[in-house]
Amino acid sequence: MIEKQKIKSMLHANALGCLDKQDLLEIYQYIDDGLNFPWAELGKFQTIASMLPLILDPEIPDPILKDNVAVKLKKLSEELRQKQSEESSVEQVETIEQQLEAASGILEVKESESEIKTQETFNLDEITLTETEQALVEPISEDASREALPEVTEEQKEFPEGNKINSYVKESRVQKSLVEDVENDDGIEKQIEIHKKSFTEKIQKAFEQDIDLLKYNFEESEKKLTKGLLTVYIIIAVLLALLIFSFFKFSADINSLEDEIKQLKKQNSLGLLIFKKDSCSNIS
Amino acid sequence: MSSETEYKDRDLMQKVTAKDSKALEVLYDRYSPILFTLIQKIVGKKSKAEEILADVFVIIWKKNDQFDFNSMSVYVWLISLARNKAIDAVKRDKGERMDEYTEEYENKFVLPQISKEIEQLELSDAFDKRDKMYSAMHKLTEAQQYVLSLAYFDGLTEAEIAQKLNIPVPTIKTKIRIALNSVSDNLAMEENQ
Repeated sequence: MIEKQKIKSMLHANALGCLDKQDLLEIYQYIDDGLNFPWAELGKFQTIASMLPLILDPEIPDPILKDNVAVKLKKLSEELRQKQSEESSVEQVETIEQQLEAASGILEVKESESEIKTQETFNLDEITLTETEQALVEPISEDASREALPEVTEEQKEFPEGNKINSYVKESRVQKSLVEDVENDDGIEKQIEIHKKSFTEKIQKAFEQDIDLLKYNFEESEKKLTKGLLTVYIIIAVLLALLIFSFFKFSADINSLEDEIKQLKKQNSLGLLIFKKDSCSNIS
Repeated sequence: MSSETEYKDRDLMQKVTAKDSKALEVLYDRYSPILFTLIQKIVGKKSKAEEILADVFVIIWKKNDQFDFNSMSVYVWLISLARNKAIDAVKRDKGERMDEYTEEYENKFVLPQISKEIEQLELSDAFDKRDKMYSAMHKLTEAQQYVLSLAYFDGLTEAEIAQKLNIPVPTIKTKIRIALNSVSDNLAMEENQ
């Protein structure tokens, strides 16, 4: 553990902000350990250090800078607002999930109750129904079905098909009453299904939108890439063509210059020969 | 706006914490010259100094809830923040090995850790002491002035100053202690006159 004396010796450098990183972390550790830190002394030196800029010649920043600061702050507040809206939508999804979990938890409990009862015995007479099951079964009771059913006329009795129709009507009415009970029941099952559907629909829509956005972005970037590549190819081709043209031109120029030099050399050598002849003839 | 210009620094900062943009504007008008002067002294380039000054005010807007209004000095906090931000920018531009600039890094090494037992200095009070500070600094030896300048305006650590001057680190530590103590004593003498 660092000693208090060493801490005091580091206060000046700490106030000036020139402590080595290791020493700075030691000071932070000393403070975090809750030891008796010399705050008053540090405060005194920090005040002195902060007055050093006063000796500088003051400079006024460009007035445009104030607008730049305002623009930066506006961007920052927009980013914060976006973050907050994202967080709130995530929270909504989470609450719906929690509700679904709670509801499915209740369903599981009820299912487990019925399962336990059926597992206990194989004897149908001993099975007792839960309230919801009883409600579903009740409309099949004789009185209700009797009232709903039309009476079988004598004509119908003559025709065996009439009985068939009757039995069909009976069955359909039973089914209808069952369906009506399920529809009229404001039980948890319906609400859960609705929640589940709306939640899954939302998730699906969100995924579809994300996929569409990704596809669009990919296509855009691909287009840009191909455009960029095309321009690069064109530039390279143009440069190559220029290079080839200049090569041929310069080589042609060089050849013509070489020919000129040869001619000049010939002329010079001829001229020298004539001069030598003249000089020899003069001497003789 | 005129009422806000009469507010003290601490009251302005409290309004800024309540996200009052007009208060921030007044704070900017009040502090931007000295902060800009300090930042430009440290970074050297005007354009870079402007960029850093803008960043400083963004930090003030975002994180002034970390300022303890009951005990800290607004002047010392703002000056230290501007200095730390400028030194950090200079070191990163030089390509020095630094930790990644995250929120955590900013909270630990850029936001100043100011003592809670400090004189409640306002900008106006500091400016009143400007001449005394000037003469207090002039009473130091050239070596002391140079060491203080290297430490505060150049952002060098004790080890880096020792390496630059080719002097042992303990000697530099002693020089810094003596220099700062001398400034403090000289300033006290000037104020008593």
